[in-house]
Amino acid sequence: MIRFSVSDEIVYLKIKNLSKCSFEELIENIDLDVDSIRRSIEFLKSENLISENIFFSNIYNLEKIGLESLKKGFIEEILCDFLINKNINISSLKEININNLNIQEIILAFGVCKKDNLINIKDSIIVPVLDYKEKIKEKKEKLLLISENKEVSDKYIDYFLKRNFISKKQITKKNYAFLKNTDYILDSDTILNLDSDSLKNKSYKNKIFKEFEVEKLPKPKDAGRIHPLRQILYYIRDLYLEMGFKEMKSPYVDLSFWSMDSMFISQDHPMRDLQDTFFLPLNGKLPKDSSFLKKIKDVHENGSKTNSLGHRYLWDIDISKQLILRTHTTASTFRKFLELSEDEKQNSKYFSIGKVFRNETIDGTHLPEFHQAEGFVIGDNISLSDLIGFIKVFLKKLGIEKIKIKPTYNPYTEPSIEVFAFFEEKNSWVEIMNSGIFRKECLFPYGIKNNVIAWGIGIERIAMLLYNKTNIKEIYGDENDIDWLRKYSIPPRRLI
Amino acid sequence: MATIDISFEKLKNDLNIKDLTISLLEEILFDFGLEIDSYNSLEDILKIEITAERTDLLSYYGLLRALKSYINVEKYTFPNIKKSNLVVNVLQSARDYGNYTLCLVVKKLSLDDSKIKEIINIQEKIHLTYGRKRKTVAIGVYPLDKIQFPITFCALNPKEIKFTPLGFDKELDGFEIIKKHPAGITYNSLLEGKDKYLCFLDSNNKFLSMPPIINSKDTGKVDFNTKDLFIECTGKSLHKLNHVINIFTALFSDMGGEIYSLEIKYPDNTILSPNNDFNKMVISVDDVKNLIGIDISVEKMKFFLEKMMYDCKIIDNKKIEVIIIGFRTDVLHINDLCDDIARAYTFSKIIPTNAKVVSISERLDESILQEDIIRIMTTMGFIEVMPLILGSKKESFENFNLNKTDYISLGFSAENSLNIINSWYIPKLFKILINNQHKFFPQKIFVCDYVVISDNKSDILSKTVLKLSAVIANNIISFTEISSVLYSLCNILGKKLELRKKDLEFFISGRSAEVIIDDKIVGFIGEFLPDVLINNNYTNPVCGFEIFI
Repeated sequence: MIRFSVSDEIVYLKIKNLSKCSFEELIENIDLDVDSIRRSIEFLKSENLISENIFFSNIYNLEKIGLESLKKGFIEEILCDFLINKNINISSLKEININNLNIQEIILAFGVCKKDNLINIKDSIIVPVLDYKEKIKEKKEKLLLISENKEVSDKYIDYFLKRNFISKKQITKKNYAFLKNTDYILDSDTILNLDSDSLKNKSYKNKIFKEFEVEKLPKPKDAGRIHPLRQILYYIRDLYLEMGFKEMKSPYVDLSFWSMDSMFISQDHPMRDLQDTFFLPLNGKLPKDSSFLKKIKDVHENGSKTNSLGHRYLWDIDISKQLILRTHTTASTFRKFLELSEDEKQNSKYFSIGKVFRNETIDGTHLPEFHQAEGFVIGDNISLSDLIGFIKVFLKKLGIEKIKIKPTYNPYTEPSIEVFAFFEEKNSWVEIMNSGIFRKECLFPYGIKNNVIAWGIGIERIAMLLYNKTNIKEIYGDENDIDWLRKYSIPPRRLI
Repeated sequence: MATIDISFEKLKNDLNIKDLTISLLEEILFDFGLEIDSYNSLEDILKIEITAERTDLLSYYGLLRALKSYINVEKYTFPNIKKSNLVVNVLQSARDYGNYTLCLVVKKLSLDDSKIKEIINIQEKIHLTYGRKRKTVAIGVYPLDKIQFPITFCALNPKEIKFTPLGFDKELDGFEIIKKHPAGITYNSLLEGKDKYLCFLDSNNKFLSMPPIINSKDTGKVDFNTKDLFIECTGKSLHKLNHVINIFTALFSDMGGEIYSLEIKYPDNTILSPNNDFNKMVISVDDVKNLIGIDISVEKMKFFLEKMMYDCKIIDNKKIEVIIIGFRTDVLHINDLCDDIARAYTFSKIIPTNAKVVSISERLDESILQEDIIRIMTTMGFIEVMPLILGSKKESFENFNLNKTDYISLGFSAENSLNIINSWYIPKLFKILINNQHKFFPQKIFVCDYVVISDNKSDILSKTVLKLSAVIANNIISFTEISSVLYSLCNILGKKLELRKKDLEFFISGRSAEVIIDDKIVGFIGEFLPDVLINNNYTNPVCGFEIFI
């Protein structure tokens, strides 16, 4: 006769009652802890009283492009509609203007049209095929079916997966079926759990403790965790603190003045172009110190007392009032420059870590927001060789010793250097930080006479290396996978 | 950053280094401060990224001359300029709009396809980069034999400007050009609101061009029979025009042409263009020591400067007078020279030093508090999430039955699903819940980070402030479950918590409250309305709170 524990009996009767059920249903319907249910399932399985069936099922979700295509229409259709009867030459494809399509989309649409045979090219003239509407309509209908979770042939699934219209998720499910009836005796002479009553009335004395499968690892504890990126932010912050740096901060929304003008970035510099920066349709107020503003103006226009030629143009105070989302944390540095005491203008070390913004579309390596760390050192006789020394010490703390440095150009530092680290695993050099010595033109308005060295590092890049992820969205952002946040392992503070 | 396409084989040949390999070239360029983008060995196309400050390198000849000098193949000298005695008259009407022009003439060129391509390419690249899409500099190239001197540069009523533009068969007037010609359509914003347009006329009153838009078909076409060219550039900054005209002077000379200057007669003075009246700077070995941290002799300094194409005169055992060739757009200060000296010395040879700057590390109170809160929340079983703060008006407000106006909206956004900066995190926590509907429940998540709220009293019309937002989603939830979390948090932080019943647009009536900490209203707590869950396509009950820190 089989011996059942109390929980074995409950699970046995429940599955018998339902004859077929999923794991989730069992948990929902049985008032026992999950571990006991699992243990009983294993026991019933081993006695061939129930069977377990594991299967995978695919779920297809519409991605952003898929959703947009359903809303706005497929880009190839928009392109074909435009091309029809227009005799557009293939060479002038890049010059055409279509509402709703930017140039990249036009090129993409053209590629799709070619692949899907929606166009013919005769003597370099692009002509849509007669039945292109029907061809696209068919695809549209299939995509709609997918969006309603209806069955669609693999051919279309593959097609839409390739175009990133949809994404696939695989989930595991377990089902249980009742196999046979059995007689059993309820094991009342054994104790499953020791409780306070049995301790008080000493009833445990006549009983034996049921053995547990102690070697079998349970499901991990559902613990609270800090975010994987927070872990890296803490690491980088610790590096700066270990080296004696003081923390500084500045707001996300800031004046162009602090992000650009105060850094000697000329008012016609490409950095001011729409493409990189979120320009807010608002103007703020400049600092009230007019002699300070005059210095900024002079240094832009003629270099003032720095022996620089300056930008040799008229500095427009109004342009510097426009509000932007900060594109780098260097604005924190320049706001701090204005607050430094006379002593600190000779010798000081500051760092900041925070979010910065770039006006970019989202893809595997770009998010419109990411984190930057940055530090500056002001010192007597400090020079490029000291900057390289600081970088070496800093990177060594991250386990990086094999580096090479390349001269580069930044509008606000000269010299400027890019640092590359060698990764044995990838057998390649990866650019890891940007740094330099602030131009005299940047420092003059603040009365800083010593050289100031500075370096910045992108946190997400470090995080991607430490967690071995290639898609930034896996690390951070609105699409975070909660399972990964629950179970990621803390990496050592060493990249190599 | 711009890239140029060049032939590696031609470069190897012209540098006369037979065993030059791509990887060796890559090392040389690395020390010089440039990077190879890619090399297509089948078609022999080498793509090199040119950093933004080196406009003079935006052509094969520009790069070749810099490399020749850098690897000591040849010391660079700027070309001799002969006088042509040709005249360009600039009328007051052009000056009224602040415009200048500088010009040059080149003779005895032997052009082939690759050289013509090179001229067109550099013209386009300068237009795009240094010329800021023709806003600051526009360049025109003409066959010299089609033009009768003296030339006039002036501004006229667009109706009066009439010629057949390149690529057209019909005469158009100024208005028609900016409406019909592709270049006109692309660049018409540069002429917006102007009642007169710029133009060049020759001595027969024939229109040569309408800068910065387009040349005339009659005088604007260069082919390989062309031997002599006239080049003009126009813009509002004389020193920028000077840079550009010097870039072309060096380029055409490198192509084998002879350079001639013209007299540009302005209403109040005459400029000889091009000329080699270049800027000079005096640099000492101490300047190099101070900025770069290396000790070098004055002779060594001269050697390194010459590698970087500067002309030098030693003044004494410390100082050198440096002549900065006019095509260098980026040398504003002696530190720029120090940087070039370091590039010639090579950065990798600089011995790292450790400056002693003593300071005691210090953290901001707010950062310490943020870290404490994150730790407390995780000990209560919550998982930290880090959503974006940019979001959409629909997801942030409409989905929560809010009709808010006090948020900060983005101007142009490349990602069209993002149009505001969030002032609260609850909608973002929902976004993460929605993305994790198939995962294990309960889901207890929080975020403790900065948001931007509008504040008309501030200079930046906003404040970046720290917030804590937490939610619990499960098949059954309760108000007590979430309020006990908030209560524990306050206890641990030593704060007094008070909840005052209040209905909010997104909470179930009677199951929500204002959060008052130390007698200040800082946020809200409650159980979300079924409507709100449905708006968000979410099918589990959710409760949560959000507070200012």
